[in-house]
Amino acid sequence: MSTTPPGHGRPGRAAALLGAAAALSMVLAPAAQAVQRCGTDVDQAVFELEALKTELMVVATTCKGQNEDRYNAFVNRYRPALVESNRRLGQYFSRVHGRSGQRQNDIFITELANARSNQARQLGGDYCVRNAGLFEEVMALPAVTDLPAYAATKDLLSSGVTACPGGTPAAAAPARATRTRSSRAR
Amino acid sequence: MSATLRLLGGLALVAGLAGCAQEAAAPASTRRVFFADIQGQARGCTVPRSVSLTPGQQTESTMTLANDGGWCGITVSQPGPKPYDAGLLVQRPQHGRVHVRKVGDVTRVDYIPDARFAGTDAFTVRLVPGNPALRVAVTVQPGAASATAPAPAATPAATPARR
Repeated sequence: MSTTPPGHGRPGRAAALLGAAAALSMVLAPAAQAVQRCGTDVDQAVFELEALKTELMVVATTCKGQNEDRYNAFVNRYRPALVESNRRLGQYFSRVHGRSGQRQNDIFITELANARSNQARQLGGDYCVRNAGLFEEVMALPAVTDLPAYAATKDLLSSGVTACPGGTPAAAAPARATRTRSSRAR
Repeated sequence: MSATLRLLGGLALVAGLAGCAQEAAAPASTRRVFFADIQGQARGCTVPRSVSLTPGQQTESTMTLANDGGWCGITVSQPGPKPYDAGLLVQRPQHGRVHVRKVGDVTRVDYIPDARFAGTDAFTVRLVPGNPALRVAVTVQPGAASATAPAPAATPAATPARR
């Protein structure tokens, strides 16, 4: 970083420019974007399940055919878990946003659907063949109670939308979040 | 008569060739590998070449990667080989995300570290069917996505939750 390219008359400025460029490239690199997580595993699981439900809905509406029946079968099998998760999602937004909680909830649901639809567009022709497999996976779970643990393996909140918007992000304060979890684990 | 013989000979030749073709062909997989699932691997991703899981038992494994925003994955499979039906996250990593996905004939268990994290982490997944578990101890080395904030605060933080 401190080395100066030969032939440059103003080494200090050149070095500063190089440093700024390097810093900018780190900021702009998509790989360097932080993915926000919730402060608690319970909240995180609620958002992951909502993302899975939305993803399956997008598969059904985009790919149609058998996928619409498969989506209905998914909802029928996991209805109690989905209802409970939806209730907790509403509670999260009420807790964090107070009276505007319902509106923030609606905004989140819309943004989530848009994010998953954008992902579908990016995958193009592969999307339906690839992501329709999610129905086979989710219906293969041995127990209805396995649904949150399955949703946690799908990494559906890493682009376009974040878990726990407006809340205290775990990823932004790793040391504090770790202490909280550690104390809970003891 | 000779035309009939020629026809029979031709049929026999075709049948023979078909037989050869069946013998030569390996049992080809019908499971596709999608480009979206093989791009974005982290630099320096080092994992065991082969991890064999046993139904109902937990297997320990390790993973080392540079934090450039990419994933590092361990591949496992059922006999065949064929991928597992699904994965379940039993223990969350403290400093990253887990993504379990089918890639052709195998299941790949990916870890993606948080931006700016370097240090150690761990997670456990369980697979369906058979309930084998895979516990992965991860070492994340500084990379492009961790260069802005070196690790001291985060490095030792991964272990307490496992006590």
